[in-house]
Amino acid sequence: MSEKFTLATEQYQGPLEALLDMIEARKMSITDISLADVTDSYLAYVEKLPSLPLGETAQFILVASTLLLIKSRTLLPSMDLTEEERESVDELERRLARLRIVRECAKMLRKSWGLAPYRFPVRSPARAAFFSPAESSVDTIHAAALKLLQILPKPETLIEASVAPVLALEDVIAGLKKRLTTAFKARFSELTQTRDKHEVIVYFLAMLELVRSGSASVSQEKLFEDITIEIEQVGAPRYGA
Amino acid sequence: MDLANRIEALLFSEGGSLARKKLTQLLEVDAQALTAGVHDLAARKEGTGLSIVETETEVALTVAASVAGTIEKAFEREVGREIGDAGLEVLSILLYRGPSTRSQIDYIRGVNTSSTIRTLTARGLIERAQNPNDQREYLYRPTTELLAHIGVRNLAELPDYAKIASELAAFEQSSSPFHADAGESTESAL
Repeated sequence: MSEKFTLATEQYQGPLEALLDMIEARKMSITDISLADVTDSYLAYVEKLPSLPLGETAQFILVASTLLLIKSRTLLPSMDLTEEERESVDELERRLARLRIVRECAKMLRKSWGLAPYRFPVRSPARAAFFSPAESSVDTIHAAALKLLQILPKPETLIEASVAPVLALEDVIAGLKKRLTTAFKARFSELTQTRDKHEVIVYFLAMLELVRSGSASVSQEKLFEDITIEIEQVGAPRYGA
Repeated sequence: MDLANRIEALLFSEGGSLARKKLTQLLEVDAQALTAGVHDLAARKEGTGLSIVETETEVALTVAASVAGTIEKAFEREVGREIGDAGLEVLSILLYRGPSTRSQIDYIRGVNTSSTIRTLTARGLIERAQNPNDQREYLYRPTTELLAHIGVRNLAELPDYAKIASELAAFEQSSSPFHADAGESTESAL
């Protein structure tokens, strides 16, 4: 809205505007007298007009003829106007008065032009490829997300167990040696009677260690039968069962 | 749901002006109920950052004039302040006199106004509508954008509206049938 609305086609003033300007320049009100007074100026203005479309020219001449009528009557008070003539004089005066009001409104309007505007919202542009499938809902999206989770490879969960110290292997070996020294022979089930699973494992390892080092020998009659452990002569390893 | 709230919601989602006719259809209420609802909504917007701007045919939810400065700063939108006298006169006629045909405007101004009307229409300050009294000629009338631009929320807020509107109306009444018809003859002469 930076360019002016006034356009080349309206560089000249229309007949009413020109006439009103002449009356206002003389600070007169719109009466027969003021109109008679400006008739000559108006005719001079019309003469200087550039060539206009026929319709426009007709408007100027129409107003000019009414002005001449008014002027003739002020010069010849005895002249009677016909009903139609009287009407066209009245109508010219009315049009001028109305245009004057409109021009005053225009002046008021200019004062408030764009001073305190109410703003329209910036229309948010619709996304070009926005697609809204009819069946989409939070529920369907939630279901899809769950399905996706199932497809995803699961990371191997490492079982973390806090390893509680059970028994020190060395202690058990020493204990076993001591016991076998006095008892000479013992059954594995007796040794581990009061022990839990972890401790049994440690005893088994201790037993194997004693066998390996030649301190003891073990025998088992059948698979899964009880194991008998015997102490060897200290310092004299014996090989074979 | 409260009618004013529903009007507000429609105006917000539209983000521009909505025709009263469209609103009555969407809300399934009659014109009278809509007017009451708009009035109610306008009253509720008093003292907020938003305002209702309305013409005889349209309603719009706008940013209030009191915060125009903030918006201008945020969006750096220049307000066009340039307008010619011819444009202002045509707008004055449409605002104070009411919806008018081109020949009526021409007759009041005493000059051919078609190019000015075209420009004002292109700027969205006035709009063209079917003339219920005469299909051959369009009526021109102010838009909510025009009212928003000059900082009034409705016609009644125009300076001296009641006085000027009745003065202009008086001219129409005092015109004889012969001259009331003159607008038509002016039109055909042009």
